[in-house]
Amino acid sequence: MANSTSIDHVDIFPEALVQGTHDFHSVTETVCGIIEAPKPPKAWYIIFGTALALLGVLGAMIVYLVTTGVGVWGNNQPVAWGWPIVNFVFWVGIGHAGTLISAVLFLFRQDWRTGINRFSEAMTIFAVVCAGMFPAIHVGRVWFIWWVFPLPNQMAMWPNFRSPLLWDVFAVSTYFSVSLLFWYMGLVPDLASVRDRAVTKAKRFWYGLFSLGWTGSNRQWHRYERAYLLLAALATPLVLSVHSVVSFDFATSQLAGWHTTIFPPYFVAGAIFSGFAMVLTLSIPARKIFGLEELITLRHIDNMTKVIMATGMMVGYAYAMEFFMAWYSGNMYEGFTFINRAFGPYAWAYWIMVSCNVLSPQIFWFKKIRRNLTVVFIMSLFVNVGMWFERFVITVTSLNRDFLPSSWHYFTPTWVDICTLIGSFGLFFTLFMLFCRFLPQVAISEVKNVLPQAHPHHDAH
Amino acid sequence: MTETSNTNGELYGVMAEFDDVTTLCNAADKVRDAGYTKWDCHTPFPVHGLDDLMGIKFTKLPWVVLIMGLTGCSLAVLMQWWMNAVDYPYDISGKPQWSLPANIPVIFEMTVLFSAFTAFFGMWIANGLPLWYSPLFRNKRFARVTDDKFFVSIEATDSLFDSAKAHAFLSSLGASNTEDVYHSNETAALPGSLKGKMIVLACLATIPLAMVYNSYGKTTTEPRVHLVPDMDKQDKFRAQGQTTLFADGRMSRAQIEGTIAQGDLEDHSNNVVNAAFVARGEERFNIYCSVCHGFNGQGDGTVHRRATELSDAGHAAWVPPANLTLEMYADKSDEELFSTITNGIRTMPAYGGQIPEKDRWAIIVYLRALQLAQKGEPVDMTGMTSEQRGEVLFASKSCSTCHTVDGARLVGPPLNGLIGQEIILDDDSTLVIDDDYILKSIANPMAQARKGYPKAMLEVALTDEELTDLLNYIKSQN
Repeated sequence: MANSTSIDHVDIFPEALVQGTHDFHSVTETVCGIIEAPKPPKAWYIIFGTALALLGVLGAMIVYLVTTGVGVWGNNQPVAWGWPIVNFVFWVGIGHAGTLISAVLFLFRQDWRTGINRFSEAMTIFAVVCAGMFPAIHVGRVWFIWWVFPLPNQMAMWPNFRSPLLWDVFAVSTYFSVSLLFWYMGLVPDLASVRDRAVTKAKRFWYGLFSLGWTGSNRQWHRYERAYLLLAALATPLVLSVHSVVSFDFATSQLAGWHTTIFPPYFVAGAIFSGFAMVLTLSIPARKIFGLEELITLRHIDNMTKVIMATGMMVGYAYAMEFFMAWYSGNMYEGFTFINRAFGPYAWAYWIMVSCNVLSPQIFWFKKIRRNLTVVFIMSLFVNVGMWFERFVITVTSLNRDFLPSSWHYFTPTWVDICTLIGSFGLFFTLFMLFCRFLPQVAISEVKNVLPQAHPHHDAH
Repeated sequence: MTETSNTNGELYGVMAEFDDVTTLCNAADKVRDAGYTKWDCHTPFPVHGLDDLMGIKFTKLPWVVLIMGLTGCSLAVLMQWWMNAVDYPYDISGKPQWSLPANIPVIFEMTVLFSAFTAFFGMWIANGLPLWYSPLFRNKRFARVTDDKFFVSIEATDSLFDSAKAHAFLSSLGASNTEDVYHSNETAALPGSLKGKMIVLACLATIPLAMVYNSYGKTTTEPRVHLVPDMDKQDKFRAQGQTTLFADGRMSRAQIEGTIAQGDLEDHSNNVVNAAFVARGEERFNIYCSVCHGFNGQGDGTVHRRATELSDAGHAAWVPPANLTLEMYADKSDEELFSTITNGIRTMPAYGGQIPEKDRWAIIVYLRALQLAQKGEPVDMTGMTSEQRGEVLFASKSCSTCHTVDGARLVGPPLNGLIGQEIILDDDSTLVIDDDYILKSIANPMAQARKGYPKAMLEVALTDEELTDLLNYIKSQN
């Protein structure tokens, strides 16, 4: 009768998943308290204000872009794919950690995911929103973006299903939809917690509306858990497919430096790498600001740095393998592209990428460093920067040296490019700060489930 | 027993509160054993093992998800096939219009999408949610079900239900509190303020529709609204337009005297036809023309053969390329051929953009050579020996296509040193070749075919005299 698996977990790991002396009520109190506080912490106002200002910048940039044309960006022949695609891949990559943490770690029964899954799922959704924006605005005439979907139109045309860019539309929109469902489904029982504690009429109404009348019925929990498992099982291949499909945008083209079969796994590893870095960037300050140190513990941070180190080495392996294949293939164009990548006009970008992605995570071999929050936070920023540069290096170094030397061109972004990227961070942080203020940041019911007293007869042990 | 709920309605059932998981699990076990069917446990998180204790049957949801996943998969196949192979076929480099590998990503995504939506919405539908009203919500204690308390509810509609007994039973199982729960008498009408707001919103929502309806099918003299003026009115020079930039006020510039436009430098009027020029023509012909017209110009290039296969199988309609060695093409003027290469004809596309002018002339010169080579001039055989006449026949009757006289094997056996040779026939009998066998084999090749060679030789119509000449020639090759 007693399900003792999770109790053994606690025994094996000396460090409990929830620190301090928490019971069910105190978990609810800690997480809901953030939402119920009459005013958020000062830091919230500062970050939210800054993010809102940057969001304004983004809005202005988009208006300027749409009314003027994509000529305001640095994109031009031969670098026709400039910052918009770099930013797209950067954001969609970040959006991979959330589903990985919620789905893959769930399937592997990694209980430590409970502290951070809500957080990272929210991050996923906001990152995919930022990612989806770039292809949408880069078409120039944004009012025709619906042409990417197979909808009947007056031209009697259908999209080309053999194009990787079309696969991208399906992959990213499916990923967004499924992530949103997964996130919302996890939220429902917690929204019910907030509903049941709500004191104002407005809160009762809105949280009541979105908690769908949840009563915690075990007959409902039964189907709920089954559906959650199904969604996790579906999201796992999905998360691997999305960045694979993104990599097809590059890999199926005939360009040296892009046309390689290593791209799908290499992109997926990079996506997980950057996603975990972003989770750390967000969770280290958030746990401090909102007092979640006992739910998002040093063990969580420690585990995430290990994932970063592992995926960082995979990415490093991919960088090395690209060079090996360029030499081993005997293809002079591949060879030139990679020599040019490391020693050509964009060598500075290449070496920023290598130092941030390959070298810097190596310090996580030391436990002391894995648990030094300041160092981990700074390293997570390094990885974010490095992974942005990875996409920049892949895109720009391959394009700027065309097959025709007369069209060689050194790409530089315009101020609109730069402001749009910065503005996309405004969008991301605005959404994230709203999430922090109005939704439970930690999966309350899941954290309760990993407490020892959540299992019958736990006293016997 | 403390009553915390309103008691103004019909009895819904009895609700018992438990303080910890262990007591709840024991209680669930007992309630099920007591034979109740309309009852439930309510917990802040899924308690593992409780499903078995309550005797909950495993949900059918996974099967529904499987079926919908397969539906999504099939729909994706069907959609892509119909849109890209039937309704709007894309011709890309002659690739097949329907090939599964390129459609797999979308098939995968649609499968996942359908499955995930089914898992999500199917779960809520099966759970009867959203249902914002439950009598349990009217009980203030029940608010802690999402916090730290555990509840068991037995409904009044259960056949075994008896309020007093249920209270006593649940208390005996360790419930810290038991009480009745009642339905509400109140109507579930929307609050008045919300109603008003919704009416206003609904009215506002009709404005765009009304505007669309108002302008539907009508013309206007108002100038169109330029939302994005930069895209509609671009600062660029168009051919034949006006400008103030140049003194003559024209945007188009005349060619400056003494200059030559790009590509106009070479004069092709007096190309020198020499071996190099013909060789150039051959190379260009083999690159551009042979794919359809064949290397010998007979119209049997690889594209033609493949297209014929496809059209024979009913997949495509095909206009065969011309056999350029026919007299009607040999009679066409150089200028006409040049025009055809440059501008295309029927299904043949224009090659003027791809083949420079000089090369087009070179192709024509090479084509003339091809036509000449295959014209078949009569050979004057007066004064030749029988063997020499046989040699001419050997070449002109296409014997040399399949046979050699130097011992090399092509399609058929080599024909040198035949007389006296012992060979094995198709029926495994042996035979020594003599004049008679050679003559018979020319007249009726398959009657005594040799083992190990394809039965491919056709009958050759020859006069007796020609037969003798050919035999003499073959015999001379020993």
